[in-house]
Amino acid sequence: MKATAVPILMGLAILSGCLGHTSPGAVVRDPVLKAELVQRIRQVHVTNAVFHTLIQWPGREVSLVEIVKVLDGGGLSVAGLTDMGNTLYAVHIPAQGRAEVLTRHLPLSEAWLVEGLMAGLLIPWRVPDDSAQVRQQPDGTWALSREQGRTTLSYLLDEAGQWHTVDCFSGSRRVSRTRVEWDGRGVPVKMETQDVRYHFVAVRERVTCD
Amino acid sequence: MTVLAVGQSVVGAGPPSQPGSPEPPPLLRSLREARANCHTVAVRFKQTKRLHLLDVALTCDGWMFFSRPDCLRYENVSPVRSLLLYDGKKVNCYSFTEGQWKRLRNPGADAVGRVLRQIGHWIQGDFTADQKAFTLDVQPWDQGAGVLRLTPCSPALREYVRQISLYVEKAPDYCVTRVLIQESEQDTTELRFTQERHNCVLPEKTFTSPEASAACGAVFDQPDPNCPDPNRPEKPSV
Repeated sequence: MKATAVPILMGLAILSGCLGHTSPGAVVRDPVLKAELVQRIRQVHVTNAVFHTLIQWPGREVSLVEIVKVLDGGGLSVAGLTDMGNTLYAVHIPAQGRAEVLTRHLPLSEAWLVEGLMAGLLIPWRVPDDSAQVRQQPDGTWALSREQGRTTLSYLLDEAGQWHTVDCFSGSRRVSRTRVEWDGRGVPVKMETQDVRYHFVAVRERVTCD
Repeated sequence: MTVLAVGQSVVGAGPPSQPGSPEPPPLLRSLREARANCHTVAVRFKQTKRLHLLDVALTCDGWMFFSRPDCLRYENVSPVRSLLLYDGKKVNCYSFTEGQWKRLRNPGADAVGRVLRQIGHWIQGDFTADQKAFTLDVQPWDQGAGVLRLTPCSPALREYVRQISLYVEKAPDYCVTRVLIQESEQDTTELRFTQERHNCVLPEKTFTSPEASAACGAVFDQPDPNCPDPNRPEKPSV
């Protein structure tokens, strides 16, 4: 395959993955169903997690290590390191309020970092709670959605109430999709995010969690 | 431009030379002489990243292989597998992702190449090649021959790295057993080296292929020709 074909195919893959579904689904106002789904959805109680991440843009790839730490009081600290240990980014997210970027040695914007890369990383820590809305998907399955800044995160559930896919919507436009794989631990063993807004794919493999 | 600055007192390394002097400090000379007959190096390392923000220390094990004049293999083995290869001409970056090695089209490969070339120079005890990039200060160290402190000259580079300290052991080996990279007041990356092997036969494709990984690891299972008595422990790290 010619080298030029790879970024084109990757771009098409991102587009096809994100244009196939353009609505978070119809809201279902059923308190009993909502209570049942919220109770069944897996809440994440992991306070430290490390991921090995591969980020792919058309024609470019970078691998890094990402660390998430839950702070007392509910805030989060997040950092990304190169393979040689240099800090690529470090961000503090208070329980209430905007993310504060402390270090950003990336040739990309703060919006890309916070709304793109980190949004995908933090999906396990933003699982909907009692404030969620229940939505029905076109195939009849359920989703729980929550507002996150200017976007809506929709956690698609399987029959056991386990979330397996998370769609991020800006208005009615899906801007990213994250598929996860579980192995019984507190956070997914693998998360793959396709982000059509910032044009990247991130594959995260869990290294440790506790 | 001469940027070699020398500390005021150097214990175990003789009197300091004058700033701007063409004569290098004695420790640098000793270091270079000790490495003169060293054509290949294999060494294990433990890399510890300390991040104040997260109050965590992230540790990674790996190994480094070097062959004169400037071939280098820098491999993280556990818990994350990644690999940087420099065959003297070209840098290749790999990540072990989804169960296999993947060669990355890394936009920062040129910068990685410069870092790998620098590491290669340091392994040879050659710090003159970095005179334009770093100010070098030789300082005393009561447990060894001295500490080489490299401070980036460029403000842009200092955004990433404030200082790099290389801890040099005493004569006759002048081994560098610890490197401390200071990113900020509180954030550091520390490398501690063990099982350093000189002039061992390196596996085929050490500097060209990730597939040499297992063979590279096996190098450290072989008896060290410089440490023939198996009951004699290897020199511990600092």
